[in-house]
Amino acid sequence: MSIKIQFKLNGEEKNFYVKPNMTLLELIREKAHLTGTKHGCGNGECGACTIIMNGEPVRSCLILAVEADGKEIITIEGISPQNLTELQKAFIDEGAIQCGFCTPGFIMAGEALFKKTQKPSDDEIKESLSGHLCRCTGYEPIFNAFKKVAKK
Amino acid sequence: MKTTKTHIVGKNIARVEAIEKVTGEAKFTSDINHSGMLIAKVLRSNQGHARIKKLNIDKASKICGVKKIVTGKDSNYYFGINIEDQPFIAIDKVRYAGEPVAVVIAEDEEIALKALNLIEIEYEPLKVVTDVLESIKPDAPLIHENLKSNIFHHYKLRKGNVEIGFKKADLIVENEFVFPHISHTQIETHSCIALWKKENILEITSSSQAPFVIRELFAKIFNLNHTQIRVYVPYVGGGFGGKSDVTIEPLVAHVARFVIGQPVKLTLSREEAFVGSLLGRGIKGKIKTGVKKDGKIVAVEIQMYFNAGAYGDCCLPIVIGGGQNAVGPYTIENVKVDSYGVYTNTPFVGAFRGYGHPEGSWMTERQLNIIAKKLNIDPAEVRIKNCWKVGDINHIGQKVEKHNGELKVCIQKALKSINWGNKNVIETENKIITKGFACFMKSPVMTTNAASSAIVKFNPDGTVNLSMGTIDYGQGALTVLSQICAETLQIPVEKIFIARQTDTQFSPYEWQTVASRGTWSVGNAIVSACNDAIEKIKQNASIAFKTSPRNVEYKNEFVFLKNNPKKKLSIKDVIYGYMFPDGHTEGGPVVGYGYFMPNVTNPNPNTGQGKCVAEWTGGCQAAIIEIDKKTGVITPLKLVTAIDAGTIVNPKLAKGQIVGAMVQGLGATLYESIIYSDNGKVRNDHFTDYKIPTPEDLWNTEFDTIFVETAEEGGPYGARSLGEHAIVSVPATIANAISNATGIEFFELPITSEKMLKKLKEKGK
Ligand code: FES
Ligand code: FES
Repeated sequence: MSIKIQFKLNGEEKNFYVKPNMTLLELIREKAHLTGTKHGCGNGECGACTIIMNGEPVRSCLILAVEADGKEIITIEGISPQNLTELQKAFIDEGAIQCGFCTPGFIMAGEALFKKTQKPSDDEIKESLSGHLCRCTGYEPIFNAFKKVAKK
Repeated sequence: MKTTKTHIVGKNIARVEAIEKVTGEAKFTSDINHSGMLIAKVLRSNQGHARIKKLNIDKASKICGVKKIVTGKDSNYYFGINIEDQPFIAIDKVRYAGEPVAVVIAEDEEIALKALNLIEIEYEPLKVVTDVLESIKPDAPLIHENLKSNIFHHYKLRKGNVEIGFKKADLIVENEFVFPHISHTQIETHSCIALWKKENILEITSSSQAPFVIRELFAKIFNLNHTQIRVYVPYVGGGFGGKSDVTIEPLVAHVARFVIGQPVKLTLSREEAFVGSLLGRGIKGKIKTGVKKDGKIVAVEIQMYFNAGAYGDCCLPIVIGGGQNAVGPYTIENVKVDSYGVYTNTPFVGAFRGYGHPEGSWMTERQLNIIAKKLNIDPAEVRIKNCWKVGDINHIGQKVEKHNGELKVCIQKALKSINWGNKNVIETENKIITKGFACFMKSPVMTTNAASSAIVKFNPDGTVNLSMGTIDYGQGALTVLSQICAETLQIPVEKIFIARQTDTQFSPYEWQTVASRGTWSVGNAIVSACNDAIEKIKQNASIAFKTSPRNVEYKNEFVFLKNNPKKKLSIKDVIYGYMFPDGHTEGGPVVGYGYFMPNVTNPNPNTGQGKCVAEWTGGCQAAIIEIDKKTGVITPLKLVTAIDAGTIVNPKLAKGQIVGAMVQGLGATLYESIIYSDNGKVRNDHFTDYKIPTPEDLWNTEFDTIFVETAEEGGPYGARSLGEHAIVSVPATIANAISNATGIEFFELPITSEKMLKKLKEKGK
């Protein structure tokens, strides 16, 4: 049994037929073939699957694909197709990337934050990072990248 | 090679693959799908130790879309690199909870999972042993019934005579320590695709640190030659040792044999990653140290019992490495170390960043603090008194050389960073702020023929393709090695393109990406490949100059005559041979090849003595922590590592390794341990109950990374290894800080807030 859904994905209207138990993460990775969004736990515990839905950062592994119907969704691929964003540049400059597997999730959390508030406070930055796990960097350079953009 | 003035070595260039990673373009194994690809799902034992009484796959096999169900009945082969003790899928009995008992191969995941649920299995439980000391008792159940005991390896280190040494001691201190099993929890779980082609070629794509090890082992398992096996490694989302040697690859390659022509993919779920790949650490140990009144150590005796889990293959070299390095960077006349590899009913253990060293450090560095306290001398003094000095003969009989680094300077710098000696403890009504430190040492533990090789291939436009076989799973190898290549070729680093992926079909040989060998070992291979290329450029130029290559000089992308520098050519004119005005061309395209082989031998099996270590890197770690008296929560306020890793090729990336390692060490210190139920099941296989450091935990932490750069004689531009080192002594550093303020001595990790609070209450704090 498949359900037809329609939503805006990275600026383009898309139709998909999905099973009711399919997650949005599965839809993005397996049906839309956008593999920049990562599966780190599947339980909402790591943040690797973060995307932006109607302006809010959400964990796509916890959302059913059918819930995306009528929404506007941005993935890492759609954040800035031509150029790097300030945050992406800051990640590179600050050395906030090691293996890079957690990176898309962190970037999406940050993009959502900076779209809402151009100059977020330290507390707002801290809150936006809550529940995002990185096993490589020790977070320090990620904090620095966020703070750098917040200061601009 | 000595450090001379360098152009690009020592500079902070950005990670070469950064844009791919920051845009989501970088492809990891789980991102790769092939047409006709099948999905594998594993049925895992829910028993820690049991006989398989009944296994019925009839119902499951009938599900539409199921291609094959493979069980232990399909093969009675046991594989291994060091010990052949492991079946692909449990045969007759299971030895740990989580062991594969059947693998379903199906058209998609949903079908595979449905079939898994229909497999009928019955067990006859056997006595389960998950504790290493229980497992060595004579009445312990045998994990491998063909053996007489659960001890599968005994490493011995003998120097001097400890009995005589202890007689000379003014004080003898004995303690026991515990380091539990921990999980690497790379954010990318293990993923592997295997395809058997009809022409008997096996193609593997895997999130691995060790494609050449996989190839070698598979040649043995499947009776193939090396050309019949191709192992491809795309980007890898974290390794930390947990993707070294072999992990899930043998299982996937084995089951894919039953569906020839169709690729089979297995990606572990987060829960499976805790039991279905490798665990790390897990030791119980005893240490007895004899010292003189002034703190000079006269004898040390150590026993370490490594809880290897159900299979010992990946743990065996850690038993050796752990024992070999347990005494730390100290010169002690009389040393006796016995380390044992022991089977238990837990998932099996393999490399984890630090490889045996954190285990030893947890014992030795805690012990030194306890000794200093008993002797009432500064713990720094005890370390400085005993630490390696040039000319010393260390515990394995190797002479300490000047280029091994300045440990004493590291101690001084680390202590300065925490202002040691000035307000070491500040106690208020609710908080205690305290300082601690510990030294560390790490050597690469590897096979004696752990080779690296590299190829530099010039293109007609003067750019260079660099290939080597090391995997960059985040350490920065691609960037640092590009810098070494650019430095040696004297060309801008932008002109070098280093292969991001490794493919055993195209990449030159690399033993595996472990032991912090990348910069040092692969770097050396690259220097030699570049020098080889330069020689070939000179050869081509000698044709143009109509002279011998001896008379040609190379510099900054130009060749010229030694005795007449005005006679010069751009390398573009000679890297593809030299074309005379009439079109006739001589010489040919320039490709340089180089290798590096460590100059080491196996240790004496009875004494552990011998030239078995190629380089040592040491340093000192320090911390300022805050203990909340009401909750027991420990917050790191400052974490410091002073390390003498020789020349630092890229300070920013090096700092990233140090900070990342310190935070990983902090996880093992404060939060992480695998918890087993009575029947051996892992009870905390989620991030919610296996807590690793989070952004909140580090938000208030200041980091200080101090590089002391004593050039390594055997390293490229004087560089040495550093990737793992800063994890080694974090646990002892924090525990020493706690002890310094409260007198509470921790011997077992992790030091959770509950444990801290309990101890504080007992002390009436
Ligand atoms: S994959 Fe969604 S939070 Fe981890
Ligand atoms: S960079 Fe590897 S998990 Fe964050």
